[in-house]
Amino acid sequence: MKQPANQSQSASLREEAASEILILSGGKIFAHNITPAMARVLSQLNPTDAAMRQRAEQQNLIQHELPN
Amino acid sequence: MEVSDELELMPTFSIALSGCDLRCDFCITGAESWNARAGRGFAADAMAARAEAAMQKGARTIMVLGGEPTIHLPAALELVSLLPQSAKLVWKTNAHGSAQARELLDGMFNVWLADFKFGNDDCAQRLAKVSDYIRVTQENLLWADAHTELIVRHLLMPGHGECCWRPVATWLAENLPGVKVNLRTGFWPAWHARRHNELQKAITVAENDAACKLAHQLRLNLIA
Repeated sequence: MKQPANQSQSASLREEAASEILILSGGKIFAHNITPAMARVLSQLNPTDAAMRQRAEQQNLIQHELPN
Repeated sequence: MEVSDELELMPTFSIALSGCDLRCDFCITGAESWNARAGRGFAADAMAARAEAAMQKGARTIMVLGGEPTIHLPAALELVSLLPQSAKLVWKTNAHGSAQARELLDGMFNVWLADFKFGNDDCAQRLAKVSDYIRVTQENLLWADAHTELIVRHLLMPGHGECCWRPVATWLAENLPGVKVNLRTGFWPAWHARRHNELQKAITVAENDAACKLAHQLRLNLIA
């Protein structure tokens, strides 16, 4: 049975890799399921975070993101 | 493809299987991890093809995780049988499987990335509704250290530095000296954490510092 467009879209979104972030009122940022692209974003938010910079650099090891 | 786990394993192609045998109220993926029917059906051959493609694109490891992957052991073993010998395979587990499960896993995964979440059975029972936690977990960690490359994880929980981290760290120092330990300090009050007063906040700077100090005093081999 064909799904309604919005339901189908929603299912498709759920199947994509999703990172989650939580920003506390004090400015502290938590994240999990970090993709290389998200690591680059987080690294730009806090360039002094050496561990996150290393994760962002993993992007260079990957030829390109895989299709679902 | 993910880069959020241990740096030496990154980038990894992660395969997350839904469902878990524990019921940790602070679970960061509670909706999927408590429901073994969440997600879509698993086809080992299709997943193996995607994993192999990921390796060709630069994935250093293939990681099977949950929830808790042990509850899907037949599917996980089928997947392993379809992957090339050269693949570095990581089993990300709560280390609370049975002796029979670990016998079946023998020789299947290169790395066990294993949690040691609680330092006593009372906290395990109260926060994860699991009994006999310490005995089972310690037995599995000793086995994993003898049979695989073992990395032990502990998520530092607010208010549990003395009752959980200290006994975990002490046991690791005494029984698995030199084992790689990832002390994770990024607790956030997810899922049903609000059921517990002490879990309604993040780790304080003081808690973080005390936990790291203990790790250094015990000469734990901390990794990021």
